[in-house]
Amino acid sequence: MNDAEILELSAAGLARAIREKKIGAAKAMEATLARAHAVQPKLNAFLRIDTELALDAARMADKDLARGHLRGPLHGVPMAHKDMYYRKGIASSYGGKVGPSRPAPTTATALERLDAAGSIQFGVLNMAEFAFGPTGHNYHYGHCGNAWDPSRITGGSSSGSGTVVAARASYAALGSDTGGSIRLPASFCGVSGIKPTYGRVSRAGAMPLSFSLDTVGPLARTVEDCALVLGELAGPDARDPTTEARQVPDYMAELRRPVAGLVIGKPRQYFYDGCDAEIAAAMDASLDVFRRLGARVLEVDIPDFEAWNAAAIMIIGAEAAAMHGNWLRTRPQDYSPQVRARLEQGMVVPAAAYIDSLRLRGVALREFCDKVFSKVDVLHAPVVAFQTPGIAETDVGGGPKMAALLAQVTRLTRPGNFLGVPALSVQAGFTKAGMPVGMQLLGRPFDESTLFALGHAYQGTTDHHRRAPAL
Amino acid sequence: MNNPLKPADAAALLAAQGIEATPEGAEAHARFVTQQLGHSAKEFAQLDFEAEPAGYVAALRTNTR
Repeated sequence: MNDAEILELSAAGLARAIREKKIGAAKAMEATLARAHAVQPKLNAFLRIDTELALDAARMADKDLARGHLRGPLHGVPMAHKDMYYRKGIASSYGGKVGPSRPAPTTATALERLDAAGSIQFGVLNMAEFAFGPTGHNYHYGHCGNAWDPSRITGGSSSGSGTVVAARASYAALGSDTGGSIRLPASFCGVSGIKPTYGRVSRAGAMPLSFSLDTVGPLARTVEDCALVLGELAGPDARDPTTEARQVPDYMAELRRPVAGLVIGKPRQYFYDGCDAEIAAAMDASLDVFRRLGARVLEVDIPDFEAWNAAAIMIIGAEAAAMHGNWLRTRPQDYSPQVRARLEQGMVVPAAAYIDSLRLRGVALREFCDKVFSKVDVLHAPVVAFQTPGIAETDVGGGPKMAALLAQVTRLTRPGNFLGVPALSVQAGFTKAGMPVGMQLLGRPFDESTLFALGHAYQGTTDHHRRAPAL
Repeated sequence: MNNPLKPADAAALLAAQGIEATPEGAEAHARFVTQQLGHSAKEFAQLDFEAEPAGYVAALRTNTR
């Protein structure tokens, strides 16, 4: 198998090939590193590539396998991750200039679990400054380019994660999602991404943005890969008391669950307000695919999201401002204008409004489940309602256009974070301009399995996820 | 409709926390917070007296499939 063929494999496919000794881990790593170095000048997606360390680790993986020791389901699979996951002894950048700037005292649980599963980290990825931006702009390390058109945004905050997976320069990548930061880059870059239920994956050792809303999850080329990686990440962790003790399903087995008879909800309100015609058409086409798979599509009324979005914005602002308070007072000039302005906004949120926002979450989740999930198994919607804009036209900094832009980009993803429900972003086609379009499937709390089953069945009869950008 | 937060009050609130806002920033922050409070006022007013943040975790655990 040549390098191009190796790079076209999914994470699950590569893991299988390594396990069956059809490809060596070192060979896969060499191909990945060559691709990463080749795309970096166009995408600015990597903040660091650990070439020699990664090659040594891959050779060790091959030796382990030769001795009959399979580390886990991701043995030898190369991955790079958003630069906000602690690795003991290494300082993360968080995409910013302010920060602890000290070697991390521990390794993030998410990285520990991927290490234990056999994955090999070969680099760290560009991201929005402190994960506090939905477009992929970064004024400290340079903006990240979309693999389908580097002049357009990747989406954020997991900007590098989305674009390297699309570019075949990493088989999967950790992102984080507080207001849409996995689903937005997955949609804009044409890959899959799962924002798990709040409490499903440990946040220990992951840079906090808003501890009430932060979730950790992967972006990958296929839904199967998302299921494979989430299966390794999920589960309780004594280091993160917000993780739930409930058992993690065998997501790889759940992928094959029949989808015929499932009911998919199409929202009557909110999600299609002002939606671009090509995106709406892609959504309708994806619903037709689900119908052909035997699912039923039902239009549903949804609650009013405007108040919930406002509450989510106040939570994220107040929590981020509290954590950044000391640096905001002592080193304000070291923040980009946009992040500085957003943190200052958080400082002005009244304490009672912040607490009311948290008090509202339980009420909102019950109302949403009663109104939506009493009628359908999942809710289907676009991730964004507009076509992928250019980097230059969305370069609004902290100026007067900032609030409107941020609200527009995260309008369809933020409710999932406020509710804390799982949401899977899946490739749903392309615009006439050749840019990817993503759909999101939202499910009941802890029901990632149904989302995976539907997404996997969809990818079994479509080829959007197989198309690669011509970089 | 609640009264809008005045830019000078937003600036004073920031200054009390050791942060100096520009006049443009204070105006934008005041407008932003006023908008969010306006959007959420009705829902906040309907919250039960006993509702507390932990109610969210309970809802998460009981609204499963």
